[in-house]
Amino acid sequence: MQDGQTGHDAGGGETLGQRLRRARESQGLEVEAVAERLHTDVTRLKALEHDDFSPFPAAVFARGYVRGYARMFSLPEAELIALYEKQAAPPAVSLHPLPATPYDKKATLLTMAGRVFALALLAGAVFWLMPYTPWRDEHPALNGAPAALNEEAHSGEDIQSAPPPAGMADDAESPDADAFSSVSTRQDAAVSERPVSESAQNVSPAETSGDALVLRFNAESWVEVYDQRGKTLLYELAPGGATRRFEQPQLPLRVRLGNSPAVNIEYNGKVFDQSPHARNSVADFVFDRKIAAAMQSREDDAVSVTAE
Amino acid sequence: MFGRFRRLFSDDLSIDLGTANTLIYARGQGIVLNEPSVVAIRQERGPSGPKTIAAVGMEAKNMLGRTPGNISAIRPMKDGVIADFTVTEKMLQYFIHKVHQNRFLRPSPRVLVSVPCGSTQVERRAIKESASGAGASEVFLIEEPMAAAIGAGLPIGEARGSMVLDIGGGTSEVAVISLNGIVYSASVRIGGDRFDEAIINYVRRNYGTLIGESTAERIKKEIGSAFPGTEVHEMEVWGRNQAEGVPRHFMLNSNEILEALQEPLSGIVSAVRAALEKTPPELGADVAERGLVLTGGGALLRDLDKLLSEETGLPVIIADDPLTCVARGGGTALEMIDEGGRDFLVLE
Repeated sequence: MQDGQTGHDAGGGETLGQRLRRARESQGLEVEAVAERLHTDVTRLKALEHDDFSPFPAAVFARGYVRGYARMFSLPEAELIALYEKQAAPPAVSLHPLPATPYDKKATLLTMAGRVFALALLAGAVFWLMPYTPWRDEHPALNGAPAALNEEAHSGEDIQSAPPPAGMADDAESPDADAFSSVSTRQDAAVSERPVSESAQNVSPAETSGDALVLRFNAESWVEVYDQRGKTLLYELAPGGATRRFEQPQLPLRVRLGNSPAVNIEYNGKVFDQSPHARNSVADFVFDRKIAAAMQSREDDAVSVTAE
Repeated sequence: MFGRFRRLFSDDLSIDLGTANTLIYARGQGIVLNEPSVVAIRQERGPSGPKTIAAVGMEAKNMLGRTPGNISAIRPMKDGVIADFTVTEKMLQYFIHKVHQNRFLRPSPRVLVSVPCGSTQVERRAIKESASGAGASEVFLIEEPMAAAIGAGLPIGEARGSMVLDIGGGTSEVAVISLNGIVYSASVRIGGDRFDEAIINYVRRNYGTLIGESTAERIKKEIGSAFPGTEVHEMEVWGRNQAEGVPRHFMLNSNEILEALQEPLSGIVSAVRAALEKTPPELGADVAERGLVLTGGGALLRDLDKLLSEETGLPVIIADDPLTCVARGGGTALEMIDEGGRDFLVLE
């Protein structure tokens, strides 16, 4: 606490620190006593008395302690503050908004992700709104006709054994007749596909002929049948005891049954078991040529189930 | 459209719309207006006639308690918020015009107004609306302790706690600030007005004499103190003796005023204590190390720093020019807006 440590001389007289120290010593006070009265720590005051203003984070604090000293020892306040201003080039408190870059970067990433998501959503919406063609890839539309013909050849004798149902009597002579029955004679039958006519609904089991899909309802059930292009062939609440028959169906068909256990499905007189496709009594499945072929190969089974 | 054009010819203003005084800081010019928030309204042609503004500011304050029947001098702000919306708008309009006196165009400045941190959404909205109504093209709000801290030069951008106590006319606001944001703030409705009231009540109780608000304020400024000091100051006061009904004069000393001010002072002390209790410990340590900074007119009460220092054990520092801290801080914040710094502002 000897003088001569600062070497900073303000205007020919004492420095601020020297002046403060002299005032304190003239009253016979230790720096600790002053620190206690100002409720601060000794190191700060010692630094102040040595003209070292670095422990003060802002000029306002240093000036505050200078004022505290001035009032405690009845020193001229304004003079000391002026001395302080002269000695210490008080670092101006730099006010600046906090940097916001990290958040912004993240935000751009987020918007990128948002854009990708929106694009995906748009693509999904377009796909959804397009005509419903679930089997387009697996079963190109053009394959339909020859496949139907092949099957016809398979079961050719069945056609002859059973008389055609009423209203479809002569396929060859009525080109506008129902599509499924005209396949036997016309190659381009694939282009027309219309649901089974009303007259065909009450067909008796005995009339079951080749290449026919028959749905028999033991109880009331909702039924939907669509062809490979998504066209609705059947869409109704079928009453119990009803039968719905499709002659020469253009496979594959998409079938949905609301009360699956109450419906027996027969294809060419062979029972198709839809139970593996059913969930909570609702069956939703695609009846395609693969299934049909598999059923054809089970000759032995068919004999027993078709027995009426 | 025209407002934007007019804005080019108007200075950005920071307004400390206080209960007692309104200060305006113009960008690049400093404090350009410091007037009491008082408006004198004259009732023309009988009780149902039109009202006109008789005087605003200092002139109106001199009328307080000395007006004839047709003039009423009122203070449109109470407890830091608007008590009379229309009058506040007129007052602001007058002040904004006054600082743009020699302009050809009607002023339409951007204005930043400080609001007490305890004010409600409705009160803030009212202040915003009244500033817009007074001709401001754009109005920003800032919380008073934030503006006070900026004005006092506290390093609020650091990740260190700074505590500020702003004692205004109507409210006292204490806040702990770190990283340009308020961590804790509280507002108590105790300020210079309550000190005056306490003095009036004390004098009435002990001397049986009524004194006016202006006299009480003068007593507070001259001999008021918050902590028992070594020297006792005295002053002569005139009041109306309630028993005799005639004006009498008597002597008051600083110890009596100290006694009179005990109640409002203890309210402020307990607000500071509550703030320290609720401050997160890390910031509390910073505050204990750096000290509490006093701003606002209340900081000028003699030995208030000593009282707070003794009561809390913290170093207490009075800011430079504490009366103008809020207005100056608002001015700095206004400059920051153009640099993209809106951290300080109040978002509605």
